[in-house]
Amino acid sequence: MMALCFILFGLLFILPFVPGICEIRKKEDAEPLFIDMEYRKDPCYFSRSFKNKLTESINSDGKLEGILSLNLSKEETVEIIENASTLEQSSIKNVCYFKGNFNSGSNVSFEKEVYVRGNACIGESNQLYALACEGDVSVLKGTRFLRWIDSEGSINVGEQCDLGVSATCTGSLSIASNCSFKRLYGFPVVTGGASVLSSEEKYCSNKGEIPIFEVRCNDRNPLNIPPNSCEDYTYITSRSLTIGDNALVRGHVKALGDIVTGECVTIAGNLFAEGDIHIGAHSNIRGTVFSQGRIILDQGVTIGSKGKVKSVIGKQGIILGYGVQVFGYVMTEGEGCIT
Amino acid sequence: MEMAVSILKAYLLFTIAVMLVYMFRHFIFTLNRLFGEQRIYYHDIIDSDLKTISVLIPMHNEEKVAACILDRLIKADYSHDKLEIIPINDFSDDTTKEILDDYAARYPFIRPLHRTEGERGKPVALNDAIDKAIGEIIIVFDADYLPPPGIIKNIAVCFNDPEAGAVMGRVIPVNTQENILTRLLDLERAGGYQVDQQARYNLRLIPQYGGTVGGFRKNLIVDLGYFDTSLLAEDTELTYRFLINGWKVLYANRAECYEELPEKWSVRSRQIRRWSRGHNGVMFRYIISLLKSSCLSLRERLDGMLLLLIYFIPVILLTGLCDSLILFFLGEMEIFAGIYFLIFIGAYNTFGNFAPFYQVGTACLLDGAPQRILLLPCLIFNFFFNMWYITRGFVDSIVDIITLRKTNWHKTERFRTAARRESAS
Repeated sequence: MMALCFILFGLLFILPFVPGICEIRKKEDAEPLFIDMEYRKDPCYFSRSFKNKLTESINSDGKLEGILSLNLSKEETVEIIENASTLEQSSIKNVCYFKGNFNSGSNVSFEKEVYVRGNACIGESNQLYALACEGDVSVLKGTRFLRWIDSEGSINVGEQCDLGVSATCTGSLSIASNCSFKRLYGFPVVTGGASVLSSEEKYCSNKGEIPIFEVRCNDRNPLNIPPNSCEDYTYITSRSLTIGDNALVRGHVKALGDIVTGECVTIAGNLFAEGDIHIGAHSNIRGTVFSQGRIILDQGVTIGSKGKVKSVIGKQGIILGYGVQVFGYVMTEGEGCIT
Repeated sequence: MEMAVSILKAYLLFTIAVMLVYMFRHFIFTLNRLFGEQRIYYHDIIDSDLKTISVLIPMHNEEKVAACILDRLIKADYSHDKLEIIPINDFSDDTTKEILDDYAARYPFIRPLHRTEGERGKPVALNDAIDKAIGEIIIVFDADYLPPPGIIKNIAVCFNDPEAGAVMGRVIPVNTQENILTRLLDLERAGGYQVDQQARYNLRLIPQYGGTVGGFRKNLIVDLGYFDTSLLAEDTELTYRFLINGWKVLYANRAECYEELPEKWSVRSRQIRRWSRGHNGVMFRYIISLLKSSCLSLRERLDGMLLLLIYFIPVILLTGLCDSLILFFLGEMEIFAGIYFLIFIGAYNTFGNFAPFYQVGTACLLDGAPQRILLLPCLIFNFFFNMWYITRGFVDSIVDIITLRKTNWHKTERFRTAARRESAS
């Protein structure tokens, strides 16, 4: 009886370790966790990846006409098309490769990626999975992108469009009102349409190069920076911070609460907040704007400056007013919209 | 005798209270990672104004791994005009010097520092290299690490935040398949980074700078008088010195880098004993200033204290276990009685005992490696192993304080084979 008890005790003692011992012997999940050793940050990653796969497949296939069956991530049918205008209210089920310019009519649905070697004009109320274009792109009112849009030129987006998870270009990215987005990348990203771009100087409070002072302000937790003041400090506060109209801060600003600026404020450095950031009309932030909450940029705000790349990142959402310019990257995990 | 028994009972209650505090801490972190609001790190920021970076790699007889890390860093996605790499040859008597000189001849931004005089050891080597470095930001890698190309940018971008003094990336073991020790250490690392560090970052508590796969502002460490060479845990010391002076340490879960784990229990025992000795040395030095610091919130001070005590807790637990054994054999275990206490014990045995294991299990889930959870019960071996060697490290730190003896740096043995070197490069 005693021996049986000992055996039972031994079995129960070993039992919890049995699955682990089996795993150690079989090594089913013993590989190191995966790190992409080639990863580099690239805002145009989606389109670059698609273009690379498409180009590789076309090169290996050798011909560029008719209908091809190519191995992109999976086997896809690719229609090679010369300069074309698509009929209205049609639905295209294959990947499309346009060798020249492309104009679509209204209410056209593209269920797979579209690649355009020339310029592209997307008609009203289209739905596209994704668009990569080597020229300029014009998107008319009410069009929806399910994934991404990328251009090697500029992009001009009409009202009430949904730009999917990413809209990127190497030129200007001009977006009209009532559009939604997740990520934008352009030089600059400008809201309110092309007319704003042509009158850019009007909205830029151009003070030339401004030095940045890294020295922290002695006041450890300031509540506000007065209007019309010129501050040569970096401000860090554990509370919310209000910056008055026409103030000039020649340093960085960080608040653990919200940051609210008045109109025509200029900040030479970066602006970081754990709460929301609301930047008043015609203000100019030369550095990056980052918030763990929401970001609201009022009319005529400029982020960054020509020749540099800066970011506007708001975790919970971003609202861009009319005539906002961002030189670089805009990103949110929440909802991005243009009023 | 009665007095002694009362003291033993009081100590047992103290041990239970401490365990409960840490149990709640582990649970809060685990629940935060599973269901809480996640703070995003700055890796999405794109900024053309890059800071100048000096990457320091302390090396003592690192011929097995030196070329691999330099090969990886050469591919870094960072302008070479703004990057310098300083491998620190610290009294090596193998071919490390020749390897470094060969790379320096081929790549002008690799500028080795050969140390043959003065003290040996990581803190003093870092101090010499910081003097030589021209970067605004210092990034440190141990020689056995394999940094991916984007990691420099990922770490550097954090310093756009004017409050950030230092940043810590995530360490991922590369030689997990070798034996049970590496499998178990892999679990510990996963729990420590994926849940513990990230939760502390989410909750704005105290993520810890770990001395490698991380960076800090050069001007800060210079202004604060460089690393203290009498301490073995220069990373923990940097964390607390920065915090007390009003700077934050951030955690970058996406700045991932492969490291090589010890493959022998003897090597691991020396490593963890050294960590315990160094960490406890920092605890003795900084715990009062931490609690008095006006730059930190109450929550930060509390978490900072619990983090500082982390290598003291196994000592409390070990002595608590001995205490309970003594009380058991004295027949004095009846401290509390009643149904509520019974329920409490039941609840603690169901959940409390396993709080750290929930943390590790959650990390495996978040990492998409659920099969590893099967290994959780085997962590009991590591638990007792760590408890013993951490206690010995604690005793070492007490002796350090009493005798004011000089600490000697012992490098962790490397296990990289020629085949692994090839694949790493």
